[in-house]
Amino acid sequence: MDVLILLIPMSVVLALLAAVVLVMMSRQGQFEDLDTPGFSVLADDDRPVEQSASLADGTRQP
Amino acid sequence: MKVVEAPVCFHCAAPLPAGASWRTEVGGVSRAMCCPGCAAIARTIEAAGMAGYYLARDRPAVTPPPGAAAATVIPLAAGAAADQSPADQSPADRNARDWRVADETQFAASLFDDPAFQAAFVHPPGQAHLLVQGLRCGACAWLIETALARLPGVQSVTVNLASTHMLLAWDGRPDGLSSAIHYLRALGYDAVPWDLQQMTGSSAPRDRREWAELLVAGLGMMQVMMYTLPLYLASPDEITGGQLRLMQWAGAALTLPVLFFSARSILRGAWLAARARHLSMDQPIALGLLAAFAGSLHSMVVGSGPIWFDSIAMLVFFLLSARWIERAVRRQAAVQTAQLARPLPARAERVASHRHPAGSCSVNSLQIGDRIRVAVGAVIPVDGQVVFGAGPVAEALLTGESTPVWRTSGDPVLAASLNLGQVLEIEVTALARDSVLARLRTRMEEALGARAPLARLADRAARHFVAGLLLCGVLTGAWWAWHDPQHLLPVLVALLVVSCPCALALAVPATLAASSARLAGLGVLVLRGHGLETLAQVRTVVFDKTGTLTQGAANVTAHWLTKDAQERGQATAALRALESGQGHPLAHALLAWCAAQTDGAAATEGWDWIRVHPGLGVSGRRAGVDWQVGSADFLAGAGVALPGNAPDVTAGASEAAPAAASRVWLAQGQRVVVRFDCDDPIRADVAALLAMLQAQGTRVLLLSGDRPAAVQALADTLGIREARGGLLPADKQAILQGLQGSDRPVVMVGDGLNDGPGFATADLAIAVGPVSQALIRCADLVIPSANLATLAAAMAEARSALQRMRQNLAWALAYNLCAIPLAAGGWLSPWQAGLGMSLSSLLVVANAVRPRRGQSWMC
Repeated sequence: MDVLILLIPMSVVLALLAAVVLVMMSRQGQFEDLDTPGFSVLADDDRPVEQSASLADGTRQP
Repeated sequence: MKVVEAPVCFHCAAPLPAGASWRTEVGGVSRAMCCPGCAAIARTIEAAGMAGYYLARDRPAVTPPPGAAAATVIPLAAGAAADQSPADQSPADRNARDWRVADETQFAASLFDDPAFQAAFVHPPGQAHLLVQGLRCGACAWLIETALARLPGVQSVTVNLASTHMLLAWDGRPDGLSSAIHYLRALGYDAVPWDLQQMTGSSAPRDRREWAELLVAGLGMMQVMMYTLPLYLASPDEITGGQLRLMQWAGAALTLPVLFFSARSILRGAWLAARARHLSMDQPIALGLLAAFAGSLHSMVVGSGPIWFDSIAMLVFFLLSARWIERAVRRQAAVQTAQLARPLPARAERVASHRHPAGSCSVNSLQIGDRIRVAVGAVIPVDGQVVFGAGPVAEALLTGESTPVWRTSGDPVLAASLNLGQVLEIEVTALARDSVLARLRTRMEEALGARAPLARLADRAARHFVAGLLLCGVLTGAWWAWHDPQHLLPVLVALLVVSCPCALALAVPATLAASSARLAGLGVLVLRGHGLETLAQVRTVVFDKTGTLTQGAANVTAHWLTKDAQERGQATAALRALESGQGHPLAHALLAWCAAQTDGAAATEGWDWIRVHPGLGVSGRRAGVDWQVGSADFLAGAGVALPGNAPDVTAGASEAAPAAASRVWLAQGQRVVVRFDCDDPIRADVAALLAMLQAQGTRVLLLSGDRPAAVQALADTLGIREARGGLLPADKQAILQGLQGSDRPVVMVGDGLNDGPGFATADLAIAVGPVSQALIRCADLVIPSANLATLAAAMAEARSALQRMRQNLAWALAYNLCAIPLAAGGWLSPWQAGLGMSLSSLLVVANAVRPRRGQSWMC
C-alpha cells in the first residue's frame, strides 16, 4: 500500500495534464465538429470505399 | 445491365413523379431519378469517382430546386479527368474543365470572384468563409471536402457539419472561388458568404471556452470521485492516516481547477452582480460552492469534519451541462434565423449621378434616391424601385411566392430578391438598414430576446426567489449557530446548493428558443415575444376571406356592358391606373386581367386625383371624367345605377355567376361600363385547419369586406358557423373588440394589408402572405408561404411549448418547496443537495427542449 504515496500524486499530475490538453484541444476547435472527421478517413484514397470502387468499375474509363 | 426499380429517387428519396424517366448510372447500376436536377447531380458525383457517398450517407440529399434542374450539367470533361489524380494533369487540362450550372440559385458564381464582394467573407486573403446549404449528414461534408479539394488551385477545404461553415483555402487565382462554387452547385449544394462579423466574431470563442470548462469539470468530477470513493467504502481502520490525508489533498488539488476554471463564470457572475448590488441566480450557488470548499479545506487541515470535494465537482459538472444544453438550443434558433435572412451582398454598383461618380460602393453608404445597377443572377441589395429594365425577379424569401414575378420600371423590388432576367437599374427607396429584410431580421431577433409574459413572470419570480433564499439562509444560519454550531456549515451549504432557480430562469427562455426555431423551420416567423404564448392559448380565430381562406381572386371574367371597342380600351386603361399599387388581392387579379388585354395601354399620367376607399373601392378623375371601381355598395353610394340589379347584391346571384364569386364594377361617370366576376378558389389546406380548430372547441369566425352572399357561400362550404360580409375595416375592429370581452385571446388571420385596425386590435395578428414593411409593423406572426397547414402545426407546437413551460414552473415550485425546508432542517447532506439540484436543472432543461411526441429533435 505504500506505493500509493507515489501513485496518488502521479495521478493528480496526470489528471491536471489531461485537463490542460483538453483545454488546448477545445481552444483549437477540435470538438466543434465531431461528425465530419469520421468521414475524412474515407478521403485518403482517390477511390473512396471498396464496395463503391467495385460498383463503379463498370462505368470507369481506363 | 441490371435495372433497379425503386419507387423513390435514388438521389434525394423524393417520390418519383408519374412518368419520370430520368435515370443515371451509379456504380454500374441504372438508378431512377425524380428530376433532371437529381440525375445531373448523381452523374457529377459518379463521374468524380465519389459514388461512395451514396453508401456512406445516412440521409437522402436535398431535392434540387426546380429552376436549377434543366441547366444543372455535370463536368463536361469529367469522365476522363476523374480517373487521373490531380497531380498528373497539366494546368491547361484542369482549366479545360468547364462546369455549366444554373446560376439561378442565389448568387451568380462569377460574383464570388469580385474582390469587392470577397471583402465580406475572405479573411485572411486566400481563405474564404462560406455557409453551405443543403448539408444533411457527415457524408455530405465528406463529399464536398474531397471533391472540392481536387479542383485546381484549391488548397484545402474544411466543412463543419454542425455550423454548416466551410473554410476554403485556395491559391488566390482570380477564378478559384467561382469554379469551386460552380462545382459545389453541380454536386447539389450551394454556398453563400458567411458573415464574418456577425457569426464567427461573436460565438466561436465563447463556445470553445464553455466546452473546455465542461470537459475539465467532467474530468475533475471523475478523478475527485476516485479519491473519495475508497473513503466511503473502507471500514474505519482500513486506510492509514497518511494515505487518507494524501487522498484528501489530491481531491482538493483537483477541485481547484473545477472551481476556479470551470465554475469561474458562475463565480464571476455572482461577484459582478453583487458589486452592482443586484441579486442573481448565480449567487446562492457561488456562496454554497465557496462555503463548501472553504469548509472542506478547514476540515482537512484540522483533521476532522466533513469533506465535500466530490460534491462540489459533481455540482459544477451537472450545472454546466444544463447550461450547455440551453445554450446549444439558443444557438440553433439563431442559426435558423440567420439562414432565413439570406446574407446580402456588401457592395453595390452605383450609377453615375450628380452626387456620385459611377463605381462600386458599400451597400450601407447608399442613400435614398441613388441608382444602382443589379447584374443578372445577382441579389438585389436594397429595397428600391425599378427605373430601367424589366425582367423576372424571384422574391421567394419574403413573399413565399416560388414563381418569379415580372418587374418593370416603376415596380418596387425588395432586398434579397434575385434578379433573373436582365440588368436592372434600381432607385434606392430605403436605406440598407431600413429594408424589409433588415426590419424582419431585427424584429425576429428582438422577439427571440424579448421576454414573453410568462418569461417575465419567471424572471421576476427568480429574483424574489434568490432574495427569499438568502434571507432564509441567514435565519437558518442564526438558528443553527444558536442551537447546534457543529452542523451550521453543512446545513448552510445544503440550503444554498439545493435550491434550484434554474428551473425559473433557465427553462422558459430555453423552451421559447427551441419552439421559435421549430416554427421558423415550419415557415412561421415569430415577430413578437408574446406570439408563441398567445398562439397557444387561442380561443377565437377570426379569418379574413379573400387571400386568406381563398387564394385571392384568380379567375376574372369580364361582363362588358358596352360594345364600343374604344370605350373598352379606355376602361381597361383607367382600371389599370386605378388598381396599380393597391395591395388588395382583387386588385392584383384585376391588374393581371388588364395585363392580359391587348387593348388599352396604361394611362398612369394625367389623373387629377385617385382616392382609395378601404374595403370599398377606388375612385379617381382624369380629364374631367370620374371613374369608380369597387363593390356594388360603393357604386350605389356614389349614385351609380347598377344595370338590371338593385344595389341589393344578393340579387346578382341569380345570374350566371356562382354565388362564391366576388363582383367588382367599373363606372365611368354615372354609367357602369363593365362588371367583373372574380372567382376565388379556396386554399387546399383550409379544411384541415378548420377541422382541427373546431375539434379543439376554438370559436371560428369569418369576417370579410366582400358581399355577404359570397361570404356566406364560402362559410357554408367550409362549415364555418359565424360569418359576416360587407364589413368595413372599422366594423371588423368593433366586432373584434366585442369578442375580446368574452373569448380572449382573439387571433386575427389575414393578409394584413386591408385590416390595419383589426390587426392592431387583435390579441395576436397573423399575417398570411408576402412580408412587407407594413406587415412587419402590425403583425405578430407571419407565414410568408401562406400555407395554412403550417398554422395548424404552429399552434400544436405553441401549445406544447406552453405546456412544457408550465410543467417546468410547477416542477420548480414543487421541488423548491420540498427541498428547501428539508435542507434548512438539516435532513439533507450537501452531496444530496448538490445531486438534487443538478438533476432538477437537467430535468427542466431537457423538458424545455424536448420535441413534441412524434416530432424529431431537429426541426
